[in-house]
Amino acid sequence: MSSFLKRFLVKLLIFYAAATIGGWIFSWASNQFSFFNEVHMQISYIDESEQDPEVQEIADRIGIMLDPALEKHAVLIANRERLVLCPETIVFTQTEDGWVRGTVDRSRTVLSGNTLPEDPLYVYTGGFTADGYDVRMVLIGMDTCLSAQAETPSFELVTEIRPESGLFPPGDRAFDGTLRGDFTWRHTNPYPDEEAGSQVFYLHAQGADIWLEKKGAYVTSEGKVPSLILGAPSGGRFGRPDLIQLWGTAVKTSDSADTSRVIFTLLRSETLWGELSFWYPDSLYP
Amino acid sequence: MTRTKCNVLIFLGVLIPVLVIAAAGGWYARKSAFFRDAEIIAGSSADSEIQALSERLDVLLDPALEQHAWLIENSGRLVIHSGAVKRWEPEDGNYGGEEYFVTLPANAGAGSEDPIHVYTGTFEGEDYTGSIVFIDGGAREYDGLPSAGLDVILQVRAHSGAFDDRRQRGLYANVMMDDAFWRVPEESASFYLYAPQENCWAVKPAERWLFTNPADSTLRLDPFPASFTGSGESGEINLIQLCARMDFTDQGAQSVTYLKVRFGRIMMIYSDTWEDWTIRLDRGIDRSGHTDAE
Repeated sequence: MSSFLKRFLVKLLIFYAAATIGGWIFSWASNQFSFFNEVHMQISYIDESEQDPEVQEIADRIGIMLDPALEKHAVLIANRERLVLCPETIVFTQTEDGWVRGTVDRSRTVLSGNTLPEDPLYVYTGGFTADGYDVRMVLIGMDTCLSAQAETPSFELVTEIRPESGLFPPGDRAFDGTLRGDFTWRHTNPYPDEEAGSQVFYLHAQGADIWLEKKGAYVTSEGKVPSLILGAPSGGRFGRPDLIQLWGTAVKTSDSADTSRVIFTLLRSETLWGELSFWYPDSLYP
Repeated sequence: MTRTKCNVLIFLGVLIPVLVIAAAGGWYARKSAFFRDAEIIAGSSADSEIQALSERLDVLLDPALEQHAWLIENSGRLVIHSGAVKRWEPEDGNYGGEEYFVTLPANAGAGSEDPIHVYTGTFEGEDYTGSIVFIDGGAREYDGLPSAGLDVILQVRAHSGAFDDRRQRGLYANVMMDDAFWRVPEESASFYLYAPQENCWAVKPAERWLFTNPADSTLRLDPFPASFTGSGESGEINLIQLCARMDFTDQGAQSVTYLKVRFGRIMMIYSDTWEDWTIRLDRGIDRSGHTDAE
């Protein structure tokens, strides 16, 4: 092989290597930028609270991380006297198509004989492991909330996703939750101010003692979950995301049916990953 | 002939048969792959009572098939509303395809099982006839509670007696999950393909098509072959059926559900290679102002 050809091939390889690295850096930077500069959601950074044994106990029982510094968490913690925990009543099964189907099985909890609070708030929990993630779902309710200035049947649905490796890998995926049936996420009504920010995405960053919060109309990470929190927007702190939570408040859209089927679909990179469907309200169950 | 020409001819003489054999092998492998998860069932001999019931419902019934057997066993309890699925022209036009409606009583799918009301209809395509049967066998348990819903038989039969082997075909049945959902994978929703010469059926489990909008619940079989080649049987397929259970999301007395049927191929751009039929199920809603097109 002539020396000219050798030099040409070396230059070509260097060019391709530089283009690949440059492309990867550009893609990473644009993902980071779009995730942290999302215009459809209100973004804030919140300092993590000191550990409180009482909060920790509730978190351990429900199976998700809780922090009173976060608004949604604070509401749940404030209602702790009302909570009736039904552990592992959300049951998931793997389908042949590769997604996970879940439903609520109340028969797994025996509540008779227990002293229930006057105004109980049932909390159903469960989870599944798939594709290197540990996913926990918590269904809180079924309660009412103020929607369009009227008390409306509602429930709160929480999805917590933790990478089994401990940290989100680079270039990872976007997560979205959609709701079907007689329910919608609490935002589509003539009183938007009343219901602003009902859906929240929380990201916990290890090492930074900080939460990233995105409030909006839909249950979504709105962009690929980053593997790194950059210093500047987070107040000069770097961190590596180790956990995300998607919180959504669902409200009933019609009063035509006493019984309706709720279907919550969890998408990972726009692909069906998990589906939780159940009957509403829970008073139907014996 | 020069040595080069000779070499080229030898090369082509080897290459062409290899390509032909590879293409034939690929074609047969694709055919076989389709039948890999299919169960081949021999059809039953014709029975005049079953034949009469098939004619009344406008779908081919065979007691050898699980979903059909239940219907045949309970034929004495059936109240058949022939032609209840009617065509109509929306005043504001439609988005292509043909629109149909069926009016169901308020307790449809939710009441007791006796009698079993059956609603039928047909739709004509260019080369095919579609038939739909909604069977109200009452509420059935789903996740611990009785659930209102209907069993559905959807059939497409080729006018010519066989599906065209040159045009790949698929069958899609779609409902919006705001209205209803298919019981998949919980129950044995199936596609049936029938070869009349051999009197045999291929039974394929129906699966949810995951490529669609997550709001959709779509069952599809696309593409399906025009013959049983590769299954161990032979014979041309002239009929395809979907048998599945559809449950209503809204369990109240009134609801509107759209079942969209597409026969053809899903393509990125508009094409005339498919036919669309949309059936609106009005449960507990009387719309006497319809413009009936038939």
